[in-house]
Amino acid sequence: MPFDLPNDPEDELPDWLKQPPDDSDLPQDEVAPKDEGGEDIPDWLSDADQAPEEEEPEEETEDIPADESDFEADLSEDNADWLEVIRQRAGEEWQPLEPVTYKDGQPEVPDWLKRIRERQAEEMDSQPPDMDAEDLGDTEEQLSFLERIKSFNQQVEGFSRQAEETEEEEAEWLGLDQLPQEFLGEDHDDSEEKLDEVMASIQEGSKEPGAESQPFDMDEFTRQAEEGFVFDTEEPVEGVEESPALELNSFIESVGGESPAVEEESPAPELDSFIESVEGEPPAIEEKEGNGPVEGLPDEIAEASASEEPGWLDNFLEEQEVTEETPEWLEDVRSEIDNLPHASAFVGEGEEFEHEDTEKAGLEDTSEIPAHPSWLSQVERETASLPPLDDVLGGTAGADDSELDSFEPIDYDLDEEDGLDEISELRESFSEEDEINLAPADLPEWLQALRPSKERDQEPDVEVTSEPGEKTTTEPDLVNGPLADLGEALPVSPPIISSPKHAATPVTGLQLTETQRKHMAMLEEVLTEEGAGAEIGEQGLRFSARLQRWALAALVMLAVIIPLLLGRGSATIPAMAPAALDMQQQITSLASGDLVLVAVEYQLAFSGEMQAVAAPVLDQMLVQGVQLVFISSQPTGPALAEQLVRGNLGQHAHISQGGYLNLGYISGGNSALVNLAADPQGSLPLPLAGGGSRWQQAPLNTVNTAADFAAVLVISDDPDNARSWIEQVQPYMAGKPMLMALSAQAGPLVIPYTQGQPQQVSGMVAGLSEAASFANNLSAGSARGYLGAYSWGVSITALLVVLIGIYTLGQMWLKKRG
Amino acid sequence: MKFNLKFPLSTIIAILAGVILLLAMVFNLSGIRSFMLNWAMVVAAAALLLGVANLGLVHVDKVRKGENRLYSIALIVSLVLTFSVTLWYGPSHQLPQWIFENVQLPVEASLAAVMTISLALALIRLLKRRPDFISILFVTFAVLALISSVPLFGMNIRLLSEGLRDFIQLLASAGARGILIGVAIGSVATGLRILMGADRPYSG
Repeated sequence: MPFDLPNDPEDELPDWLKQPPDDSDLPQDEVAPKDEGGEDIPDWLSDADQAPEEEEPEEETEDIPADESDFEADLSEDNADWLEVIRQRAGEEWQPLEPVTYKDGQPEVPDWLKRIRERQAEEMDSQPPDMDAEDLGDTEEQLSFLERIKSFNQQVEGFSRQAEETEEEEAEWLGLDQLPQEFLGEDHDDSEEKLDEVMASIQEGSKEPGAESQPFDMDEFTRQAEEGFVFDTEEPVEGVEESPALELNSFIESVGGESPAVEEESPAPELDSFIESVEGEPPAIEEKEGNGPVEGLPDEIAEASASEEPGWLDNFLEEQEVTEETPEWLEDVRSEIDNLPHASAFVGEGEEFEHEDTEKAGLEDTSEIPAHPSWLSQVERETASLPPLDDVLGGTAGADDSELDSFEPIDYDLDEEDGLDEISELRESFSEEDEINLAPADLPEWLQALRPSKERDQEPDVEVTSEPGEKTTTEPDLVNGPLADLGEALPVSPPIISSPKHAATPVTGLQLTETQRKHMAMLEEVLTEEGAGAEIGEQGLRFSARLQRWALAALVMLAVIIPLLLGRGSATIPAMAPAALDMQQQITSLASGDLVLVAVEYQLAFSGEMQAVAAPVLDQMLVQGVQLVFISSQPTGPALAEQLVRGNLGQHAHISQGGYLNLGYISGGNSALVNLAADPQGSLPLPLAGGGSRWQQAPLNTVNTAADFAAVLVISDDPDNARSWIEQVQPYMAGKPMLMALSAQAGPLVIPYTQGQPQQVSGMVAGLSEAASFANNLSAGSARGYLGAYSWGVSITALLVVLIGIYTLGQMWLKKRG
Repeated sequence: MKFNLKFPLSTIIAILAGVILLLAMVFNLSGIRSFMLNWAMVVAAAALLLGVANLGLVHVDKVRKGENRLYSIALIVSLVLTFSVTLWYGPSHQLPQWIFENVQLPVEASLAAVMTISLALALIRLLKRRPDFISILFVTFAVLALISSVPLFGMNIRLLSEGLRDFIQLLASAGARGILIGVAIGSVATGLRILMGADRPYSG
C-alpha cells in the first residue's frame, strides 16, 4: 500500500479525522482495575462499549462500516476510500522513496538487525515449554512488531507506515487476528477510524510515565532505537544538513499537522506527528499496565470480551501482571541497541555517508532474514512511484535516506579474526601517528654528561660495510636522538641472539681512521704478549705446582710413617679436656647390664678417625659391663657399627659372644629420631622369624622410650647429625646422659651444648688427641698409636703453610719494592 | 599416568601435616604423633629405594647412549651384586660385610686422605693467589687450630698446647653459639613459613 498524502490534507481528510477526539472520557493515569466479572481487564477494555458513542459522532461513520459484522471484512480490505483519494493524488506528485534493497526475495537488512533477529529467534525457541501456544504467538507477534519498528526507524520510512497499513495488517500486529471469530463478530462495529484510535492510544499510552516497567515497552524500545539511529536534530552534525526526523517533521508540517519537537521524548515522533496530522491530536487513552498490542485494543473490544473473554487473553494479562519486569529478550534487545553507535559518532566533519558502504555491509545471504510484513512491503512498493521527499519538501529536507542507509553498524561481537584485523589496523595507524608526532627526547643533564664526547665529529666519517660494496645507513636515532654517540657502545643485538659465526666471519672493507688503526695495533700487540706470557707462566706453574705437590706429599707421608714406625713414644699424651672428663665420669657411673644406645652417624671417609675416637669410649663401657644397642640413621651405619665392634672391640667376651644388638637403619632423619625417642617399639618393629618382636625379648623388653636407656652415645663426624640427636632425642631422655664421640671438626660446634646448665651433652670426646688422652689408661683403641703420626703430620703441614706463606709474602713485598 | 601434585593440593597437605604434628608435639598426643612419624619413616625409606632405582636407570641410559660406558657398567654391576648379596644373606652376614670393609671403606678413606693433602696444598697456595688481609687472617687461624689440636711435633708444650687450645676453643665456642642461635631462629622461621605456605620446598 502506498503512502499517499495530499498536498492539502485538510481538504481531503474526512471530517472525523479533522475533528479532534474528545479524550476527556479516557482517563490518562488510571490503571486498569479488575472488571465486575472478576476478569483482569483494563479500563479501556471494559469501557470499550462507551467510547465509540461518546467520542465519535454519527457522521464519522459515513466512510466507515457501521455494522459490526462487517468489521472483519473491513480489516481485510486494502484501501479505505479516503486513503484511495489520498493515494491517487499523492501518486501523481511523489517520487518513490529510497527503495528497500531486496536480495533473494527478502529485504536486505544490516548485520546488527540480523543478529538481533537471530538472537530473538533463539530466545523465542528457548521459551518454556509450558507456555501457551497463544501466548507464544502473541510474543512472536510482539517480536515481529519490534523488528518492524526497528527496520522502520532505521530506513526512515516509518512515517509512511501508518497511512499504508490496512485493517487486516493492523489487526495482525495488534493481535486481532488472534481473537476468536465470534469475538470479532460481536464487537467490531467499528471502522478503520477505530483502528487509528487504537494506534493512537498505543502511542499515547507509551508516553505515560512508568511505561518502562511494563513487560512490553514499545516506547522505551522505540526511544532507544531512535537515540541510536536518528540524528540529534538539536546539534546537527556537520556534513549532514538535516536529520530524517526533521525531514519528517517538515513534511508533516507541510501536510498540515502539528510538528512535534524532534527532541521530544516521544519514541516515535514521526508516528505521533502523523497521527496528529490526521486526527488533530491523538486520542488520549488511559494508561495500561501492558502496552503491547493486546493492551492497545480499544475499549469496545474490551467490553465485548468482558462477558466472554478468551483464554489466551486471560493468560496473557495474568502473565503481564505477574511479571512486572521486562522480559529477558527485550533486555537483550535493549542492550543490543544501546551498544549500537549513535549516528553522529560516525560522522566526522565534512564527511558524508556513502551508500556503497551500506551495500558492502549488507548481508549476502538474506534467506534467513524474516521478510517485512506485507503491509510494509506494500508500502515500499507503492511508495516507489512517489516523488522524492526532497522534491516534495522543496529540496530542503537535507539528508536523504541514503545517508542513513550509509550507516555501517559496528559489529561489537567481533569474532577473533575480525578483532585481530581491527587491532592490527589500529596499531598500524597508531604507530604511524606516533612516529609522526614523536617529540624529540630531552635528556637530563646528568645523562648528557655521561654521553661520550663527539670526538669523531672532528674526524672524517667512517662508513662501515658489512660486505664489500654494501654500505650501511646510519640510524637517525644514533645521530640525533637520545642514543647519539652511543652507537659504538650499544650492541646491535643482544649477545644471546647473536650468532658466533658472525663474529668469526672476517670483516672486509673497513674504513678506519688513523686513531682506530693505532688502537687496533696496540690491542693486537697486547694480546700477543699476553698469550706468550701465559704459555711461559703455565709451563712454570706446571713445574712448580707439580714439585710442590710431590714435596708436600713426601713430607706429610714421612711425617706420618716415621711416628708410626717409632710407636707410642713419638708423641706426648695431652691432658684431658673437661668434656672428656665428664664423659669418663658418666661412663664410670653406668652399672653392669645397663642398656646404652649407640648411634653410629659417621661416613666411611672418616671411619679411621671415628673408630679411633669411639673405640676407647666403647671399650670403657664394655669394661663397665653395659649392653650396647647400635642404631643408625644412615644407610651405611649398621655396617660401620659391625666393623667398629668387630675390628676394635673383639677382645671383649661380651662382643665376641654376640652380646650386642644392632637395630639397623632407621629412615626418616629427624622425624625418625624423635619417633625413636618417643616410641622405639613403634618406630622399629623388629619382627622375629618365629613370630613376635625382639622388643618382647631381653634386654629390649624393658625399653619403651629413650629414657629407658641408661645413656645414649652418638658417634658422629658431622655437627648437624650430632645436633639432631641433641635436639630430637635428648628431651625424651629424662635426665639420662647423652654422650658424644665426635671428630675434630665437629667438636667446636658441640662444645656449647656441654657448657650449658643443665648440660644437654653430658660428656664429649672430640678428635684424636682427646681420644688418646681418654684412652690413656685403657688398652683398647688405636688413638695413642695414631697420635704420634697425627701430631707429626699436622705439625709438618702447619709448618709448610707458614713457611711457604712467609716466602710468598716476602717475594711479593720485594717485587713491589723494586 | 602422570600425577601432578602441585599447588594448592600439596600445600594443603603439607600445612595440615605440619599443624597436626605440631599440635601433637605440643599437647603430647602420642598416638597421632607416632602415626604421622611412622608415615614419614615409611615414605623416607621408599624415597631411598626410589633414589637407588633412579641411579641405576640413569646409568643404564648412559650405557645406551655410550657416555662413559665403562664407569656406568661398573656401577651397575656393583649395584646389582651388592644389592643381591645383601638382600640374600642379610646386612649382618660376613659376605656383605667383607664387601663393605674391603671395597667401600678403603675407597672412601683414600678419597678423604687425598682431600686432606689437597686442602693443605690449597692453604699453602692461598697467600700466593690472594695475598690480602682476609687470606692472611684465615691462614693464621687455620695454622693455630692445627697446632692447638695436637702436640706440636709430638711434644706437649703446656703453654703452647693447652693455652692455645683454650684460646681456639673459646673462639670456636663463641662462633658456634652464634651459628647455633642463627640456626635455631632460621629453623623456627622456616617452619613458620612452611606452615603458612610461603615456602614450598616440596613443590620441586
